[in-house]
This record gives sequence, structure tokens and C-alpha cells, in this order.
Amino acid sequence: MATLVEVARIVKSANAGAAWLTFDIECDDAQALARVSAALRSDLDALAARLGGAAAHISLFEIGALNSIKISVPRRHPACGQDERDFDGLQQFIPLLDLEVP
Amino acid sequence: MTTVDGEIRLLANCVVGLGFSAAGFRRGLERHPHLVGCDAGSADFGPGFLGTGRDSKSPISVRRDLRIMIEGAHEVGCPVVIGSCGGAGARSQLLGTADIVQDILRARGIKANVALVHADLDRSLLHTAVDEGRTRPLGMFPDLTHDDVEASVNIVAMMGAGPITKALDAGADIVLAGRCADPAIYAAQAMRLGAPAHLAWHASKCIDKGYLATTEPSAGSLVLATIRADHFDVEPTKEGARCTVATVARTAMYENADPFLIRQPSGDIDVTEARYEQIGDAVRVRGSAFRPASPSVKLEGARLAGYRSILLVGMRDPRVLARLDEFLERYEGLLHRIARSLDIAQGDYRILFRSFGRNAVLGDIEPAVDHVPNEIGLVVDVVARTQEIAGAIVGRAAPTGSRLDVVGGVGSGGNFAYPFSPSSMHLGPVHEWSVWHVMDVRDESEPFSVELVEA
Repeated sequence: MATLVEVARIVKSANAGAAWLTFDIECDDAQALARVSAALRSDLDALAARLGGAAAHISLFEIGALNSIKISVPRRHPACGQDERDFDGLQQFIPLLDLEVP
Repeated sequence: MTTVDGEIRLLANCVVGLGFSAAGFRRGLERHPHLVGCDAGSADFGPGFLGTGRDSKSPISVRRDLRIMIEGAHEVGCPVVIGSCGGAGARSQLLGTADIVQDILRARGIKANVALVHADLDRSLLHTAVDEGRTRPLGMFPDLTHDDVEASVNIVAMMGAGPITKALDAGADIVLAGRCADPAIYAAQAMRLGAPAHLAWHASKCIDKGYLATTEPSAGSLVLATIRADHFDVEPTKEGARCTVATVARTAMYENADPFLIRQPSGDIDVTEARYEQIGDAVRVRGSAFRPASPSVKLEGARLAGYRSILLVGMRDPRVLARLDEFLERYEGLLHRIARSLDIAQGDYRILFRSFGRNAVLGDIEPAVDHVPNEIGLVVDVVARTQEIAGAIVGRAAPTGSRLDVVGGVGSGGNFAYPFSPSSMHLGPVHEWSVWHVMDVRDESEPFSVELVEA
């Protein structure tokens, strides 16, 4: 089965302020976006586990004009504390790359 | 619009101190902008800059960028607005930027009215807001308490267009703003010149990351927004640069948890119905809305968490790396024992091992933990109540870890390769966000003050 990194053109992450992380996934066309969207929504618990959050806190936004989908989750720990690993959140997308996309 | 040609042109740069194309800036000036703007800050790199009051960028880089922008704006007679001066937009950083600006003006013989817009929050205002239930947390942050307020070394509020409008109305040629919402840098002038709020705000949001709205950010092009009666255009100003529907739309949705509703102190930029059209190298935008809301400001506060010392070493022995968890567990136990022998209370420090090459980036969500890494960079990270305590523990960490024998046979050899001498680094104060909240206010300008300075 294809994985997200094979189906999507861009997969990236960044802080949305210190309280949230956002993940932006962009596809080449609407069809690929529909596949990605379905895969992300099919198991929110599994998605949450990959991102280290709780399914109840995940928000998904589809942006048709960009063939993209944005995932927003609150950061796991109060952000930017003394134990922070990735202040800007730019590498937190890695666990999404091998998500299976039917 | 109150401008002569019925257009409002806003020339936008990315971040003060990160550089930009001087040629692209010149071409932007040829369009006679009504404003040159640039953001100078971000909270993305943590509370350390707000906590220490230090500038996040090199003064050499800041001076170069400010000099070009100030000279150019003076030449065409438009104001310059710089937001979130010095990184966190706290008083000491604002004053540091003001010093650089005064130097530039003196050196170039430019007469200009400079306004400083202070964003440091009066604590009594915040205590009252806590009492009146006018603060609420963002994300997973807890409710704000009086203790949080008192524990903070610095607290700033993020200004919208209101305070910048006041500074421009007072005749400022150069507005140096403390902590500031990025689009407000541009929206204030656009609305002063008669742009409708929805066009002013959305155009500002599209350009407030400068060259990130172009296809090739590393080329350092500025971007120009031209606001007309029912739409605005966003275009690059450097020869050969290009804005596309994707790069412009993406910029407006960047860094927001909700990509369609972008909160500002005076309301929400609603881009749900926005339409983007490619016209050559520019993008035409229409259809967005601005939904006024009762005013509120975002607050950022930093408190001291302790002082950090670290040891950075390389580990390459495959036998030790195969048993890294066991190694680190025993290593931590030994360091605690050393701390006890030095009469250091356990509550006065914490030890964190950061294993670069294994799981230092993702921690417990790292998916690839089944293989033994070729080598790791191990950071022994100690944060303690004082720098002396952190230094004492880290000072013992090198010999203790290097001689810790989990495979047998280390003998007088060692586990660690040291890339630096000295190998311990004392990094000074460590801060945490103590305030990451929103405060409802009667007037969006209430927490801010405008100071006009002689130049």
C-alpha cells in the first residue's frame, strides 16, 4: 500500500504559537487529497498516537484551493519548556510519513 | 481610498536581521509604496529571548537591514513600521533597536520622527484581569493565576493595528513596535489611508512573511501588496521572482491552528471564501471578510526555570550502543549519587539525556527505535536552581559516563569522544512560558503606550 510520503507532495509541520502544532499536507490534485483525507480520518486514535496527542483534540481542515489538509493539535507538553526537543516544531511531521494511504 | 491614485501599496520584508535582496527592495521603492514594513520577532524559538531581554539577531545584521529600509523609505517619503523589535518585543529589546535606528539616522544625516510603541504589560492591569475573569489560556496551558503573573520576569501583550495607528497619527516616520501581530504592521497604515478592513487585513496577512510568499524564498525578494477598491494584488519585487496562488494562499494560512479564521486583537480575518487568481507573476485576491470582535490581546510571559549546563559527547562503540537504555539508566543513577555526595538536594536539579541519532528529536513518539544507531551525539542536559549546581553535576558527568562499564573491558579507556575543550558548556538562565493567554480588554490600545523620541 502507498504511504503518505509517496502520495503527498508536501508534508511539513510547524508551531502555531507555543500552544499548538500544525501539520500541512499538500497533494497534486483533488483525488490525491481525497485519499489522504480519508486515510487520516479513518482512525483518529491511530493518528493521535503518531502525533503524541489525543484524538479528541485533533482538528482537520481541508483547503480545496491548495489541495491540502491541515492537522492542528495542542502540543503535548507546555511548549518550549526546559525539556523541549523541537522549539519550532519543524521536524514533528516525521511519524506521518509512513502512514498508509489506501 | 484617500491616496492620489486610488491604490494603497505596502512593501513587505520578512524578518529584520535575516537579510533580503537590496535590488528587490530598490525595485519595490520604484513603485512608491505607502509603507515599508518588516517583522522583527517571533515566539517560535522559545521564551529565552523574552526572559533574558536579549536580542535574537546579530546587531550587525539588524543594522544592515534597518539601514536599507530606513534610507529607502526616507527617499520616497513613506513611513517604516517594524514589529516585535528585538525578537520578543520587550522593553530592553525595543530600546536596543531604537539605539541602532538613532545611530543610522545620525550617520546618514536623516531627520525623522521615531515612535516607540511599548508592549510590556503593567502587572496591575493583569492582576485585575485575572480577578475579573478576563483571561483565558491557549491550547493546553492552565488558567492564569496571580502567582504566574508574579513569577514572570517579563510579560508582553501583542498589539494589533490600534497602537500603530496612534503612532502614525502622531506623525511618526519610523514606528518601532514592541510585541506586535505581524499583519498589524501593514494593516494600520492601509486602514488609515482608507482601505476597507477586510482588504487591509487579508492583504497584510498575505505579505507579512515577506519572501515566504514567493516560490523561491532564498532569493530574498520583498513582496508588494496593492490594495484597490474590491481586491488586492500580491507580487514579488525582485526580478525573476514569482508569487503563485499556492505560495500566497499558503502564507495566509501558515502558523495558524485554524487556517480560515485568523484572530487579531480587533476581530477575525475570515478567508473561507477568499478567491485567488494568478496574473503573471502576481496573485489577485478577493472575497475575504473581516469580522470585528470584542477586543482582546494575546499575552506572552516568561519565568526563570533554572540554569543550564551541558556536556556534549560522541558515542560510537556498537556494544555500548546496543545497550544504551541500560547505560543511561545506570549513568543517571551515578549522577544522582554524586549530587547527594555534594549535598545537592534532588529537587534542585533535573537531568535529561538527549541522544541525537536515536530519539532526541521525537522522544517517545520516535517510530524507528528497533535498530542500533551507528553513533550518537549524547547531550547530558542539566538544569538546576543555580548555575553552580548545574556546573557541579555536569563537571562530574564526563568522567563518570566515560568510565561506566556496561560491556566489560572499558578499563582505563572510555566510552566518550570529546569534540570540544572544555567539554562542559554553561548556557546560563533557562526560561519557560509562564503566560500564554488571551486577555479581554475594553480598548485594544489600552495595554500599550506610544513614546515619541527626538531624532
